Amino acid sequence: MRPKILICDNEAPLRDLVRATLGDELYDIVEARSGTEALDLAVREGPDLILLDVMMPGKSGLDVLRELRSDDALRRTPVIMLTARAYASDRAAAEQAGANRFLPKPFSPLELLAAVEQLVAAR
Amino acid sequence: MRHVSVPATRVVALFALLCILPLVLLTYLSTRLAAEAVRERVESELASTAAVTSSVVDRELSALENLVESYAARPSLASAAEADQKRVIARHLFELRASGAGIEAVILTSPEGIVRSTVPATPELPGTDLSYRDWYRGVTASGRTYLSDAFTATAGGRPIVASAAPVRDARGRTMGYLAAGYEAAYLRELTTELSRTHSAEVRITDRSGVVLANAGQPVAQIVSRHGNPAIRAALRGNSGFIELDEEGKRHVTAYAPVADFRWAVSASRPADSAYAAVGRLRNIVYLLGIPLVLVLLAGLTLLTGALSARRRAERAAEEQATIARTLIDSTPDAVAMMKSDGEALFMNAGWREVVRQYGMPETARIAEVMESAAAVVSDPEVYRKNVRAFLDDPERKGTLEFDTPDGRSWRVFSAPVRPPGTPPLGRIFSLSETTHERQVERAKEGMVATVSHELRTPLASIVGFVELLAERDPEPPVRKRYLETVSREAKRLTELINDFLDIQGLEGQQLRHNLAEFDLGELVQRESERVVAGTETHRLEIELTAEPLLAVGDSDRIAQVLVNLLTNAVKYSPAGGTVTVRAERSDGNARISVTDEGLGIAEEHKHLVFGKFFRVDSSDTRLIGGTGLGLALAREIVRAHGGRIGFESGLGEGSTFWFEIPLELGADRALGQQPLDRVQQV
Repeated sequence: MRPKILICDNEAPLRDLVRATLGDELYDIVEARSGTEALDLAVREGPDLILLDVMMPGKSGLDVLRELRSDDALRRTPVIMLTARAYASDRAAAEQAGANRFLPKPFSPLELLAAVEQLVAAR
Repeated sequence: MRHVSVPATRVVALFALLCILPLVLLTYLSTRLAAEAVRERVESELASTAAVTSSVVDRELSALENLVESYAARPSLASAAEADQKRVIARHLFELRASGAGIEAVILTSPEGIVRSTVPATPELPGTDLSYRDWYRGVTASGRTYLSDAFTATAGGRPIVASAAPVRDARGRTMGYLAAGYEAAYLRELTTELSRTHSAEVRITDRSGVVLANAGQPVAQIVSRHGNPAIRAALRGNSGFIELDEEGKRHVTAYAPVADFRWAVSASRPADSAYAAVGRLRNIVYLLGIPLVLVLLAGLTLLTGALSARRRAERAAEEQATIARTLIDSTPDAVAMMKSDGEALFMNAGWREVVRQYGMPETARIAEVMESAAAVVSDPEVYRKNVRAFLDDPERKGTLEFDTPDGRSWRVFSAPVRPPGTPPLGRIFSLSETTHERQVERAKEGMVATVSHELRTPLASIVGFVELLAERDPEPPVRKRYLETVSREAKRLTELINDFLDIQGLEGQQLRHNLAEFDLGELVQRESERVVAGTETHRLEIELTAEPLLAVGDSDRIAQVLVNLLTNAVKYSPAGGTVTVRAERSDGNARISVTDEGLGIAEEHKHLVFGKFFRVDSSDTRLIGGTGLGLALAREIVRAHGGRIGFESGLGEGSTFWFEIPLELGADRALGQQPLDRVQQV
């Protein structure tokens, strides 16, 4: 069974990029366009890994992450933060909130793939 | 601190008066009393001189009279006169002349006044009638010894007096008159002697005031001093004291009568020498008093100067203090200064205001106020730690920033207060509100984050897909799809950069280029058709004025605004419908409006519409697209034209976006003169 990956980003090209990078044949990819949608899908689908954009209208990636970490079922799900904000303070905030990885945009697809493979394998 | 105002000069003047008045009084009284004492002494000295002189003269004249009387009473002289025994007569006369001091000549006359004999013998005199002489008339009138007035003797020319007595025989018949001429040489010697010993000018006059003796001066002729008040008073039988001007000089004179003979004596001294002692005393008093007064005045002047200098200094200090206080109260900051023990040295008005606003204790202990403020800040832990650091280290200098739960931000600057070259006196706390700065800062941070995000997002797609292309070399259909995405995102990035640079360039700027008159109606027609008629989903309605709608401005920029509104109208009415474009005149302006039947705008988003990077529904940019800068840019362009932009909308009811620009450029509506709102909405 393919690992299920939830990608949450309000930017369609970014979701496309993630899908293209990971490949539908290797991963079961679920897309969410907003934070609220991501939480719904996370609860419903129980993904093996979540990719979260930080800066989204409405609920931000950090808000979503905090809610995930306070949910017993999703507490241990690995999360990779994708963000256009690349300051050290942003990384620290993400790590404090419980992110497993932090990838600043623009990121290398291969790096993303490696991170996903590593985290999924670790589960 | 305010001093009681005392006019120093007035006080000092009063003091000077109180000091100088008694001094002057003392000087006056002492000289006056001394003068009186000296005057009394001089008076008594002169009076005693006069009295002595008077008694001596009296004795001398009485002796003369007695002598003449005793010779006249000699029976032998009477009988010799009767018998005309010349030799006997001559012997008697000679004896008389030789017997007493001062008798110059002796004459015997007949009862009728005819000279019978003289000593010394004067050949031409016997037989001469002397009955006109005063002494003759006096002795015949009184019938007894008589002392004459002064007269000039034929011989010398010097004044003499004569004492005459009748010569009677045993039966009382008058045989003739015996007269002795007395030159008063003795009196002159006497006056000279008295003048010398008594330091006074002694003068003797007869009953007519004729001077017989005048100290130190020979009496050469008959001079009457009857006019002299002293002589006159003495001749009237009085004795006394008088000050007179004589020969142009002030004299003090004592006078006395020679009572038996009704003569007068006087003793006088020049006033200056008489009162020399007074003068000396006065000089001494002045010598001491005047410097004393001068020293006193100088002292008081210095005191006045010092007092007024002190007052001036005090006033200047007061003024300085007022200026300093006003200055420190005028700053928007809350400033307090404390001593090393934490007690307040100073608090300005702003400090008291903040303490009051936040309900902190109204205490004079600044340290306590600073610590208790922990209760009203957002992060008490950090605050307390930092304040402690200031209070514990007297040398520490720095700032401390904190927020309060009411949404305000603050900055406290604190440093030791140290007058040059001394250990710290205490510490100053200067609290300033930084709410606005923090807001601007946060807005800026937000803006940077947003721009960064907006630029990085398309960039991330481009970089990502290009890397996938390079790494995986996918099949042509996939490659085409990737390249399309890259191209689209690159275009988006380009637009974004253009719009962003555009808006940065327009903000706060005046429109300078490409100003020309153009027909708005034509522009509306052209652009509406190009944007809306090109879609298959929307219907276009255009309402124009009958005449051309001529406006002045940058037609390309206005077209940019209109295109933006048109694309938004199409974009935000995904279900299609009619887009109505209207161009009309409105109160000197051209008003263009674009109405759609689309999604509309929720009330809570309305204030964000003209902000940068705002999208009504930005959950999926694939659906809507755009840079999020269009309306912000449109607003800047319209403002730069001196116009207005706005909208009316309700959620689900579509929107009408409109803008107005002036039809003509009046003097009062120069382009870009309207103030621009520089606070950016994010």
